[in-house]
Amino acid sequence: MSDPMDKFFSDQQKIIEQLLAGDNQAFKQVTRAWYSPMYYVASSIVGEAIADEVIQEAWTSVMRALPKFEGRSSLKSWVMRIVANEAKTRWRKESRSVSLEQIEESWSTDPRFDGSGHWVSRQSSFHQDSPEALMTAEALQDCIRKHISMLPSNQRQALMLKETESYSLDEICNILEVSSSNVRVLIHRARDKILQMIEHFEKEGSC
Amino acid sequence: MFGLPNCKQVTEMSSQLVDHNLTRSQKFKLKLHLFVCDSCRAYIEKMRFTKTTLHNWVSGNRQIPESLAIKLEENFAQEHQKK
Repeated sequence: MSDPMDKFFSDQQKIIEQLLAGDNQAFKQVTRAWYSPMYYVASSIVGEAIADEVIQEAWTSVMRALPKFEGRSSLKSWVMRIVANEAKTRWRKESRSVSLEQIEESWSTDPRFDGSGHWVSRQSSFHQDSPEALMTAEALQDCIRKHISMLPSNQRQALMLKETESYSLDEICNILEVSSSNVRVLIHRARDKILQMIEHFEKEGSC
Repeated sequence: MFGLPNCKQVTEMSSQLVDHNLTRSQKFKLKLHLFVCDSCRAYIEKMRFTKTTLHNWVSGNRQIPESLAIKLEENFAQEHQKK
């Protein structure tokens, strides 16, 4: 049976028309469905405290610019770009800057590898069959939340932008003002930390 | 050996592999390594799993707070009235 939400989101042109016509129900559906990725992008750039404010500003910008939307990307990607830009503008106002200082943190002495770059101990797969099955464990969700918040800010920003699957690598580089090789390193290190956290959780059953 | 990446280098390339960002030659060398290395195969599988877990997390983990939803809908109605 097809999900009514999937049906709703399959017709982008209809959504645009409904939004332009002031259809409150359609607006409600898109704001709810896209809140989570918008929140993680905004909060990773400006922090949790003002993420919702940024989302509010982004939706105002979206509605003002929607009549000129040319459909070169999906509506969601376009909205996600607007929220990233709003967050970045806000972040600049707060005079923050991306620091790559933490990029070399202990990576060269990763204890999982010996001097010639081979695994010290044999690696095995996760026990769970699927990410969906894994995520049913509430404790793990708390653990992921905690570990994402503990990531260095540049890693968290790169990871959140990447995992929304709404931005190209070039767009992420522009948003974060880092080179493409650095952005790849940031994404990988962040994922690797979460991977190790899941490994630990599977073994110990705790965070 | 033969210009192939070692295990540590394979892990460093794993994100690019799951994101389909490796060049043909990088992918070829990595696959040769994976052919003979169980541990790296397990790591790559865990990396794919982690990527999906994080994507699912970011896409649907958080619900909109009711106060924000109300504010957005009020703004939406106001913006529409202005037109």
